[in-house]
Amino acid sequence: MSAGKGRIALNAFCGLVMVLLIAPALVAVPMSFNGRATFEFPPRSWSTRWYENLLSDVTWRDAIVHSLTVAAIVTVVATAIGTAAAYGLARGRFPGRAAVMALATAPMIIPIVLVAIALYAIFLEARMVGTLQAFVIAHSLIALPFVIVTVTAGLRSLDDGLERAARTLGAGPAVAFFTVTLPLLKRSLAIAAALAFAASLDDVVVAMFISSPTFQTLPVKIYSSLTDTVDPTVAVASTLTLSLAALGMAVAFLVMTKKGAAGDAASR
Amino acid sequence: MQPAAETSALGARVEIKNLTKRFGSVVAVDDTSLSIEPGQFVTFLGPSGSGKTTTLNAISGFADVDEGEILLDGASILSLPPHKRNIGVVFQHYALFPHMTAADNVAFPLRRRRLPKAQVREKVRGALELVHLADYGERLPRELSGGQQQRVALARALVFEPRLLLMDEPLAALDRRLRDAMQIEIKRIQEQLGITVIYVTHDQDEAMTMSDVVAIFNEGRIAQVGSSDDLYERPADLFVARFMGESNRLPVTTSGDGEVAFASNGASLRLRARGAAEAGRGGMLVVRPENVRVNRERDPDLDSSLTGRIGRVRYFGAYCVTEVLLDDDLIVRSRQPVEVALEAVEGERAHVQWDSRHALFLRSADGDQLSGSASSFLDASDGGAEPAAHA
Repeated sequence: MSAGKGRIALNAFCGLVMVLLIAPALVAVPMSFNGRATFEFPPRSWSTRWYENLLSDVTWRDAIVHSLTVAAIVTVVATAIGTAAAYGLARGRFPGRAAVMALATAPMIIPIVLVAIALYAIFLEARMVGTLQAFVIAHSLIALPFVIVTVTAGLRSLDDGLERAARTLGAGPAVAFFTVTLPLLKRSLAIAAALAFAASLDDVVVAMFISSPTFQTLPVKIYSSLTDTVDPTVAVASTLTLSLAALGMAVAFLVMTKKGAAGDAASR
Repeated sequence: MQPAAETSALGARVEIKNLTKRFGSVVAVDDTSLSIEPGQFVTFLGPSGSGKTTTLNAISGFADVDEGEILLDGASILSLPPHKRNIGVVFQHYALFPHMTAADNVAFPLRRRRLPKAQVREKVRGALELVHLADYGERLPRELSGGQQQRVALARALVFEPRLLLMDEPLAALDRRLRDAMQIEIKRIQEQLGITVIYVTHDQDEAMTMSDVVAIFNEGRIAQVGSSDDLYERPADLFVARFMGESNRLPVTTSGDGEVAFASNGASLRLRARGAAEAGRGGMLVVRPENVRVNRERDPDLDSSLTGRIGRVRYFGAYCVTEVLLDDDLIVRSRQPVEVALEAVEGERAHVQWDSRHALFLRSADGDQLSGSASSFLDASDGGAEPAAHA
């Protein structure tokens, strides 16, 4: 086989894999424009009435607002705590550092349903089920490992001599961190924040347990409306979620491939 | 730089007293003391792991001290955190902040000290002029060459007018030519500012050309302190002799005052050497290659003489190094002018001679690996002698 044919075959294979990965998610997009109250695919008639429905239906609107509110707060909380933890783990010298690192990233590995049950038990006891606080705490827990792993990687690629240099030039430890280390970590921080946001927005398992009829996030609303009714508004919600995720990915991709002054330690 | 002129001859006096630093069971710095006069350029020279960088870190505040004291102008600095010691530090890899321009890098220590903006601008300009980078202030570090980055780092370490500057192998990452230029540059700036400098290196040429005083570190201790020529001409022990410059070393035993016996080919040859006192001590006769002459004819003016066969002649441009194989397979190397050396014919017998004024006896330390072998050239790092290669 010639090199050219090999290349075509490779491209075709990659294309096929991409279609397999993406196509199922894209099915929701035409479905959201269905003219009738069915989940048929492809739709036989078209309309935007389900979009109107999503915006006018207060339960859908609340779910979206809840999801975005929780995700926004979680992004700030998890990024701040996770960055502090990563800094301690990457720069600190204390016994049991490896164990703490493993523990901090454990929520990534432990089956999420176990985490959900544990949190549910705690929040039930504390009478916090269905509250914003409960969601923020739970989702921060889920998002934290993503932040820690990302920021730790960023810190490792950063010359710790820079902070030392700052210290010799008259900057205390905190000033050195905020004037030198943090600005150089902004790319890692942006990625960590995007991941934290996505982790919160994405969660359905924990949210199922800790939501209440008055406080639901979007994935929970999608799930519950699927089980009760045949309502293409679900497809609209899915399409919106998909768009949001795609937007997030695009931003993350742009940040990661951006070279130059804004780059992290790589430009050292 | 204008403020610099005012600060000239304002270097700090540094006293290190019985400094000890352990890492676990490893003693990195072992009961080391050193006194540095204001305005002196002192080099810590030694192989890696000899304690020189740890000592430097103790001064800059990045290594906690187990025992001992460090005084700056008579006051202890050990209780001060690094950012309050007011000591300039230049790092090996420059450690410029990549997200700041050269000017912002230089302004960093001034901003930490909350100087008024106009003054910051003024001092930054002065510092960049001092290192000949006045027009490069707006560049980011990655837009500068290695040498320029090092200059910015130097300007940044000097701009807040510290009285002591520490430099940790600052030129190690530069190529040879640039290194030579920077050595002259650093020396010029140090003399202009009158600042005390402690300079860490493992490059003996760098140490010799720049320093007022060189402290040779070996295994956590200072083996010898002195001027370059002191250390070169009068090394205190074999380690210093080996580390400073190149040396020929012949295993000998003292046989009297100023006299040693060299066992050669079954016979015992008497040679004169400085430093030999009571008889019966084992050690090395050390003679520098530039003091050794290799001649077909015996030169009657030189009082120490051996014979051997001429081995390799290595051409270095400005000079040649001729190897002579003694009868018991020891090599003596001689640094000679090119025209003399190139007359030598490999395998021919020749006289190896030197004036005994240049010969020094140094005792072998216990467990010294050198005994039994002879000379070594260009071996400052490994310190080993090599057996002669048989033809």
